[in-house]
Amino acid sequence: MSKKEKVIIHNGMEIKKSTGDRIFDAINALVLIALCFVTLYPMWYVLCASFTENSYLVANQGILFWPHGFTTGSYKMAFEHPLILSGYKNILIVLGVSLPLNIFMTLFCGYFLASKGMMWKKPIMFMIMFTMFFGGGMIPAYLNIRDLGLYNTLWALILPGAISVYNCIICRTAIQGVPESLVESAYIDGANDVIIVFRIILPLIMPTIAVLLLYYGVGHWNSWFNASIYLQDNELLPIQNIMRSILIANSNILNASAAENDQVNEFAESIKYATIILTTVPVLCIYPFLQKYFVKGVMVGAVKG
Amino acid sequence: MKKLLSLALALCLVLAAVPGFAAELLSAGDTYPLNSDKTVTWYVQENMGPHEKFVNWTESPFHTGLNANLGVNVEWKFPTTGTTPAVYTNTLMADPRTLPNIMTGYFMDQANLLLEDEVIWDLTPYIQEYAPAYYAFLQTNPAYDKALKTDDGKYYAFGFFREDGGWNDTYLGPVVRKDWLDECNLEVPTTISEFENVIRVFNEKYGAKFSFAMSLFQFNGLAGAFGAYGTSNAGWSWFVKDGKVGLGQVQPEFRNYLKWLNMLWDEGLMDQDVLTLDDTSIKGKVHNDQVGISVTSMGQMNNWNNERIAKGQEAVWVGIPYPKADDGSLSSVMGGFGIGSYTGVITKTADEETMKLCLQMLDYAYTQEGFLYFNYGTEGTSWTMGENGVPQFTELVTADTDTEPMRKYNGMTYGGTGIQATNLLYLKNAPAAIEANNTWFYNFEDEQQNLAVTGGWRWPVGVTFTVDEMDMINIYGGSIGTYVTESFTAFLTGTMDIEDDATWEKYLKDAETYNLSKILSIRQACYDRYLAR
Amino acid sequence: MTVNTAKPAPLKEKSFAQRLLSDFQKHKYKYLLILPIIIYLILFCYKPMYGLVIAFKNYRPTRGIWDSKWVGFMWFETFFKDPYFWRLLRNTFTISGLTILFGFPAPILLALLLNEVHNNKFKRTVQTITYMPYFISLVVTCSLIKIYTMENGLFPAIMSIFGMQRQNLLANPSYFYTIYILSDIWQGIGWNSIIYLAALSGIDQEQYEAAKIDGANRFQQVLHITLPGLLPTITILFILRMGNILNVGYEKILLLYNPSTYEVADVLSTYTYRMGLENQQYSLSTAVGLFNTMVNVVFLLITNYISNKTTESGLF
Repeated sequence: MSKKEKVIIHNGMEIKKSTGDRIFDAINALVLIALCFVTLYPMWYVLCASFTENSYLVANQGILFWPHGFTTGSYKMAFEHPLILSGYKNILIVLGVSLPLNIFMTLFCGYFLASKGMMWKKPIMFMIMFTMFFGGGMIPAYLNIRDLGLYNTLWALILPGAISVYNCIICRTAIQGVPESLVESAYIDGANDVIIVFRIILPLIMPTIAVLLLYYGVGHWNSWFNASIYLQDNELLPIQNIMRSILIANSNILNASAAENDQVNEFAESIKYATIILTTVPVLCIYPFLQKYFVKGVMVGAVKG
Repeated sequence: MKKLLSLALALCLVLAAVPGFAAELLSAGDTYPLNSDKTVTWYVQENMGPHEKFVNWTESPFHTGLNANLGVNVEWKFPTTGTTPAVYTNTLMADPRTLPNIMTGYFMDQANLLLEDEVIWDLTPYIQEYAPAYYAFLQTNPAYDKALKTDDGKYYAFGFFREDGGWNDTYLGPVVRKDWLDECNLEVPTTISEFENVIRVFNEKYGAKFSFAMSLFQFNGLAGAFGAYGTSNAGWSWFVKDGKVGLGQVQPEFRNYLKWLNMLWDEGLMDQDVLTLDDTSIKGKVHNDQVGISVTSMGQMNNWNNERIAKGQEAVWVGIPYPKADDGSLSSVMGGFGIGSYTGVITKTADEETMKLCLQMLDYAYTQEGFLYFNYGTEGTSWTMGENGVPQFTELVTADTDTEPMRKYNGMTYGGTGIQATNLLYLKNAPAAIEANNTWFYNFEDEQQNLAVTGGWRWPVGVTFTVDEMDMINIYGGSIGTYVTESFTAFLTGTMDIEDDATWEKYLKDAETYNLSKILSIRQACYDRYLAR
Repeated sequence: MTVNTAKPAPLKEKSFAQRLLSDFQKHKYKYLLILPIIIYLILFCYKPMYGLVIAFKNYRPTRGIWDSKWVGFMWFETFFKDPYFWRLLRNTFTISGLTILFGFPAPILLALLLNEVHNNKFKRTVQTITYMPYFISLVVTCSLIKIYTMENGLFPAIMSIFGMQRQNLLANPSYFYTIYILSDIWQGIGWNSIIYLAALSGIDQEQYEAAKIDGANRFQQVLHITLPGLLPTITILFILRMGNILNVGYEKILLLYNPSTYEVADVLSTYTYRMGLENQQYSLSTAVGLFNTMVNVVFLLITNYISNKTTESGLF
């Protein structure tokens, strides 16, 4: 069926839409709009709060439809933090090195788990799954990083999270969905597994790869705990740790000694929200770029091409 | 002008009332700089770190200046920013081979273990020779010496002390809106009945309720007016009375306190949000006239006033005394003896020569010169001696708009291995906050009686558990804290009936299943050893 | 050469070593691909795994793991004898169970609804918006929840319109689960639907066309094409979720609970947090963690077994 025909049929269906269909579409749209509203309001609040004067914020909590007394003071204060630029730089380095590593390792692992017939498949699979549940805990992991000489280097942030078994399983599920005939005909053509992974599997599971990129990327972006104990120099800290320090310094919920060290800070409240905006916006911007891989029919087109 | 004068007068009075001993410190003479070519690593868990404006310590005038004054190449180490400091220290401790030479943190609880496992140096044989100023300082007050030794008389740490001897340990207490008090023609309440009356009048007239942030309530409430000790949090409720250790929440007096709280709750006089309020969310109520009387810290009260000023309103919050019982008695308020549990130890990664050097380095803060440097920085740069013989910060500090700019030059703003000057607190805090601290601290004219109420009832700082005792507490003491805190709220809200004797009996009996007596006897033994030091 | 088709008879006669050799020869590239992963796992997962023994020791950081005293099952006993043990277990299962019951299907539902939207712009906008809350730090989410549920907050105000008494919802144990689950769904629905959207994009469009020609209505299409297409993903994610049955994150609970809701909100992870990170009882918290893992593994195996029996697809 050619592309042209598809469009025609689609249009044909549009015209023939039944009343039931229309009612369903309307309700569906309404439900989604309601969901968006419920989601957006608190987000909008966060955005407005980041531009609102502190004194107004502390007196009128929870209800804000527009920034009150528009000020960028909290952003200025956040950017005055001496480590913020090095923070962005460090996370970019980590992402740049990690993501290719993550994707290739996951792809290899997923391919192996999806393949059949190897004698060692079961033991290796067990070995991989086992790590999903059992780990040595914080202290041995710390000692291990010291022993491997990774302490106080960015490698300590890149290597320990190089692969996630959960993601490997997602990758395996996607690869299992690739028709076996494709792989077999590639073998007949004389291709080996490495070539098959890159030439056949990879293009076919692009939507899943996009998801994995997002999972790994966001995982690295949001993680802070490893950096907080594996690093010694503040100049190596990724942005999330810097933001956390701003957030916690101004939030007595997580800061036990706040009662003793209460500081008079004119942006104490609004800076919390500015911090959220500064750490969230970069990740939000990436999503639309990955979204195109989730459009219907990628798979079909690829198989045919 | 008149106001200013009376304020200055009040300040002088307070200064006179506080025991000053700065003059008693030994002079360093020409010991420093030590001119050593050794590199020493010095880890600081919290409080004495570089100001947030600096990328690292090499930019911090306090730390580079201290290196120069000591004449030693110190490599400073701190938890990375944004880390939970205690967690960072714990991970460091997991690898004793790589520990920094000097470590400042909370080591008193584990002192016996650290000594037994040879992780830290026993300083007893060296302290007199290599840390003469510190040793002399400890001898000025038996309480200091007692707190900084183990039960068998070993010196192992350099401590934190407040020059005021505990005045600032009472940094929180009840506060009230002065303008409402005046409007209602009420006197400042001094007894619990008057206190209750203020709550009632404010509720009637303004619809306001008695409210406070949960975090502060965990530190201290108004138990003292009922002859009780402690608060909702078990950690703050181990008390000592006539040499006997007890847990505040299971005392009959505490039940009376709970009855009072429950009565307020039932009559709608207490804010029901009190269970979820934190320092931030209570501000919403404070600034919307929903609270007129509360319990908070001097810093928070300061914030409330400043936020009002920022909105063009008047500062109306003032500290009021802890209410006493109607017969004038008072058992406890938040307090201490001016001895911190934050200490500096020397680890075994330092060889004997380095250890001796470390002793000399740590000793500096307790010399006359070091005391001034740790509190104010370098003379002529960040401070000068005022006409009254009291140090004043220069424009370098006073004109700096960053948060607590003095922390760029000094190390004692929050505490560390040294002595915090009372004058520093005066320079740092607003006059209203100082006044509030006075109000909360000076409960009785008789000095001994006052000390008994502020610090005397507290489980003392510096008590050291034996290794076995620590184990026992770990095994048996895990859940008693949760249990009493939970029951506190249940009694408060009426889920459990505080008036009902059977319920109370059952509560006491249940506390036993959480091993209360076992823990009390361990603590008693430990306290007895402390007394015998 | 047809690699994947097995050559049955002669293999059996070969010795084990020979079979091993031929297996390696046949699958050498597959083993080559998995080699870096094995090396990685050994270095970063298996090497530090000896740390688990501290559950059976009285671990002291300064003594190291090997030199700490062996205490057998003492910490497990301490935990089982704790008066709060049953309560912790009950609360953990309840919260986890409710999250699975309501939180697991929610993103699937969203993905299905989105799939029925024909306007691409609208679809993308909804996706992007619902995905955003995932990135708000829990500290801020929870402080917003607290503000909205206070006596004079938004939700009690709405509830009072319907004649309910104004009260602080977070101080009332009966609302805790509702607040917890709803905010969980709010924060995760968009993010968790991404994986289903990716799976949906893999469904062959021709099937829909064919179904339409056969006169299937939209509901029938969903039932017979979309859902079966999603099933492998749903199954795998469900099994993995069941393998996390006792894992309820501590941070959110810590931020939301207070002594009046301990009764319903105190869970294993908050207990471990108090014991491990606050009281530094590494041994006890490792023992609890190990217990936790064991229960998780049992649930994973059961789910996997059922799934293999009923849908003929599973984790292994």
